[in-house]
Parts: sequence; C-alpha cells; structure tokens
Amino acid sequence: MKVADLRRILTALLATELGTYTNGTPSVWVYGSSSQPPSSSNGLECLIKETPDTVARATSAGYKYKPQLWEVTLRNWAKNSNLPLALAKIEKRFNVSRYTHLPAASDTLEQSRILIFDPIVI
Amino acid sequence: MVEANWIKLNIPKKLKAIHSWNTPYAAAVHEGSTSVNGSEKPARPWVDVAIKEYDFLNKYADSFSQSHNFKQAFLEMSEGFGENCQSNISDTRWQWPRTTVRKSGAVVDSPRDIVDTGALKNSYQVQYEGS
Repeated sequence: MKVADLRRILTALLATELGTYTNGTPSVWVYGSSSQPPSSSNGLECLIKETPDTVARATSAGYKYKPQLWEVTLRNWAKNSNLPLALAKIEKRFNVSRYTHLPAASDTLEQSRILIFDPIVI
Repeated sequence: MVEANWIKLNIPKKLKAIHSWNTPYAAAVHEGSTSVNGSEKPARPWVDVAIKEYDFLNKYADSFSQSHNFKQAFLEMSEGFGENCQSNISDTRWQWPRTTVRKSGAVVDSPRDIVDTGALKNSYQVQYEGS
C-alpha cells in the first residue's frame, strides 16, 4: 500500500465522520514534509505520516520482507462522538497493530494515534 | 550406553512486566497533543523509542547464559528496558518547535530532554505479575 492509497481509502471510509478545512475539502492530510494543513478542521481530522515505519529484512531468493507500520492520527476539533466511530471503522478495515486514545481535556483536543500493520515483500 | 542428564529448568508460564509513568499528562507527552487554540505539542514517545532501540533478545540471552534461569533473565531484560526508557526521558534528543520557559525556570530550546519538574521521570513504576 502506498500513502496515496491509504489516503484514498481513509477519505472514503471516514466520509461521514470527517470534518472539512476552510477550503471545503475533507480534513485528511499527509504530513512529513514541511507543508502544513490549509487550516484547522471544523470536525474530525485525519493525519497520515508520509512514510511508514519499517525495517527491511532479507529473506531467501533475494526478496525482502518489510513489516510496514503506517501512523495515522485522528484529532477531533469538535466535541462529538466521531472519533470513536472512525476508530471502530479503521479497526474493522485495517490490521491495527496498536492505538492510543487521549480524551479531550479542558485545553487539549481528543486524539488517537493508530498504527496500521501493512507488511509487504519487495 | 548413552546416558542423558537433563537439567530441570523452571519455565515461567505467565510472567508479565507492566512499566508505567503515573502522571496525568504522561500520555499527552508521549503521544503529543493539540490545544484547543491549535498550537501543537510534538510527541516525545520515550517508550516507543526504547522498544525500537532496546535489544530485548540479546539482553535476555546474555542474562540467561549467566543465570540459567528464565525468570531471572526476564526480570533483568525488563529492568534494562525500564532503564532505557528512563534514559530517554533524560536525554537531550527531543525536537521542539520553539523556545520555552519551563516551570523550573529553565529556558529550553531544541532538542531537549523531557525533564521539567522531574515528576514524570519520578513517577515511573514497574510491576510484575505471574510467576
């Protein structure tokens, strides 16, 4: 899976939960370069780390096994239940290796960091 | 006639180590957070980094080769992991986007450690379950 595939799948999967940026686009953003999201979101925002965390391991016949972990962060700019709903959808659709959840506090947003397991052979 | 002498080794079946940092903000420091006004605090995942960097297998093997005791090897491996996590808190290795003044009064830049009042580091506990 490439980052563009992950972005496309998540945008479709979370279509009903995602908020939008001020330019009207669904608030899904790939980060890792210097570019920032166009604005804050008006609801649920999905941030995807541009490159997965992985270490290639040599196997027989010249192939390499890469157990990739994609890091996806959901943060909720609105006080609604969309984050747990989105998290449940992601868990059903992907092989979620681990996730953490921080509830909203008086001064911080509700947030969840999800690691998606995506092994490939190259 | 061949005679085999087996050494009976005690293998722990369900031994678990729980490493925890018990401050209300520990998770927010580890995972990073966004304030309601949009300013971001980057994640400083001292445990995740230790999991990546700590050589569990070799630490276990080294310890076992000396003690010939599975439980002892597990405890020593776990202890080493905890020390690694604590070192990560003290190490000046965490990126931060701006200069800030800590509660302690220190002015810090980037990279920085995760020690301000010391409460996070001092809250570390390890608990063992099973035998």
